[in-house]
Amino acid sequence: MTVIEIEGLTKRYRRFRKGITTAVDGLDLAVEEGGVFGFLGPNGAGKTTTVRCLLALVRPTSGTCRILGANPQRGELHRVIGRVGSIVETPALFPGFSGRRNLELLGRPQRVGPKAIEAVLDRVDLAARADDRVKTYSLGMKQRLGIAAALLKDPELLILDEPANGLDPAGIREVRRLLTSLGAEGRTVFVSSHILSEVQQTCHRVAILARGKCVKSGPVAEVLASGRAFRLVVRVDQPRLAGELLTAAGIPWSPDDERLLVDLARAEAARVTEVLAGGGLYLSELSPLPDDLESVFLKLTEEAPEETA
Amino acid sequence: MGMLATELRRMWSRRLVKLLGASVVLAILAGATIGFFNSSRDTASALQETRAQRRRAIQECESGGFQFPRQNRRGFDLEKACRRAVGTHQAPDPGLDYRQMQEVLLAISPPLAILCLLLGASFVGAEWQKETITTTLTWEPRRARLLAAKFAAVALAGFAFSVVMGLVLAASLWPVAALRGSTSDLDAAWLRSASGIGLRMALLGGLTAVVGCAIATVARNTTAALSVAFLYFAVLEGVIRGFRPGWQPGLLGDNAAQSSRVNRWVPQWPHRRPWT
Repeated sequence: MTVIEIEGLTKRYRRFRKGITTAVDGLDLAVEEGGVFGFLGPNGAGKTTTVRCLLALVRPTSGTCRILGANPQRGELHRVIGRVGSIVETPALFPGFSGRRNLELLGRPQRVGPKAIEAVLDRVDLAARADDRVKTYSLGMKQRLGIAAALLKDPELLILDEPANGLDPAGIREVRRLLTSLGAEGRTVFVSSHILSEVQQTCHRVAILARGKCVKSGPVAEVLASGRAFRLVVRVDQPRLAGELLTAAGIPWSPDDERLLVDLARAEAARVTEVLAGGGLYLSELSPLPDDLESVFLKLTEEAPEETA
Repeated sequence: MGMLATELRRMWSRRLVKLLGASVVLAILAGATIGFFNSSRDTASALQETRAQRRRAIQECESGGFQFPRQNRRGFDLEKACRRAVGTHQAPDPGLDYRQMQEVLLAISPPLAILCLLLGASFVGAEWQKETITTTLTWEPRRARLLAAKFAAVALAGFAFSVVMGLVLAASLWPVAALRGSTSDLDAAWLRSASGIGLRMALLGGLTAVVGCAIATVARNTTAALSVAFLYFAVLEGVIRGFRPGWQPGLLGDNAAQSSRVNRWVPQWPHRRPWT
């Protein structure tokens, strides 16, 4: 079942004296039920605008989106909002109220009881500070309170916009663990982020957004492969000659100190040995670089066409 | 109803509400204390003082302080003329007459309405400023419903705030009147009249709270909302009153003030007759 469907979503903002800015440009995306879906993109790529369109916080210029089958633009979101937990950017909560009070006020119309509030506070490790005012919380604690608020409805679908924003390394690891466990519980977690290590370690599928367009989507392994991230490390006695041989064979490469970095997938490593051995060079090392979403991400987002607005 | 209850709870949890409430209660108690010390049941000395004042005025007149047109005619009685000219002096009641509560309620109605406007504007303005409205909308995406709940909560809060403050005022002035003034002649008609004024004061409070809330919803900021309200009520309406007096009956401020003054349903209670 598809929990999030986005077709041709476009959002343009008209700004005073700055003309029109296209935040999202004809985005198509489908997120299947279950697991953790990473929504990647550099700052300004349109991630938050997409999330805002999904939650009916902004009206798209064109295109449609559906969330658990409901079209937010047609005012249908209220039918499913009880099954959707969300954080949009830094969670905005009442600074003068305690964390517990904030959760009580949010959950009251949906009849969320004190037990559920205790449970989510425990889950995000905020129970000890729950009665302190939110304005005394650190950014990381506010972020965890936001996650608690998103979990309060025991949602099927979680939409988390930059959930690890402002967290320290321990907090990031905690969020990662939380996201993984939520995904394992059968929920669908849609997490937008620009922290690639976080996404790579927690997500099953990803979509990469650049300049308002989806440049790649699919299972993480597939996206990594498509970005030709499987660079091979080649070490030989004569790197210069090796480079000439590789160039002659049409294999892209780049120098890296005494090594060569070759843009070929692991499965094509035999071609390197064949070409170099044919030129009388024998390898002292041939190893793959670790899978790296960051390089794929940078490659794909750099390749994306410039904004046309 | 759940949303309305939540919004009311949110309103009640706000520090500004408690701060304003406490400030108004303190101001009322301070006023009552001052009233207590300035009130007295000693009507005899007040009457004596007034009579002495009248006598001094007549003496001044008789010693040539006044010039009468027919003063030099034969048969002119200067003393009589001076008594007529000075007339009667009204002795002020030194004690608080509880029947004046109606005037006191009318007097506090405008400041209470302004406070309710502030309450309404800050309730929604703070939500936009702190962007907590975004979080709320992720729980209730139907904006019209959410805003309706907020407006209803603000109206109820403004109404309740005015009622409570009116009751606090009435309760704090009662001992002053009972111990240092008069609580006599308070019958059902007076009570109906006073209740009517209190009710209209509370309705005005609720209405101005909604106006504040509405401006803040458009301006999305408390300061901007209060500035707009000030510009309208203090500047624009003043300009209209000056240049287009005919439009005055249509002005919001004038109608608001008039709504608490007009007392069509119950007759005004006559004031105590002055002593002479």
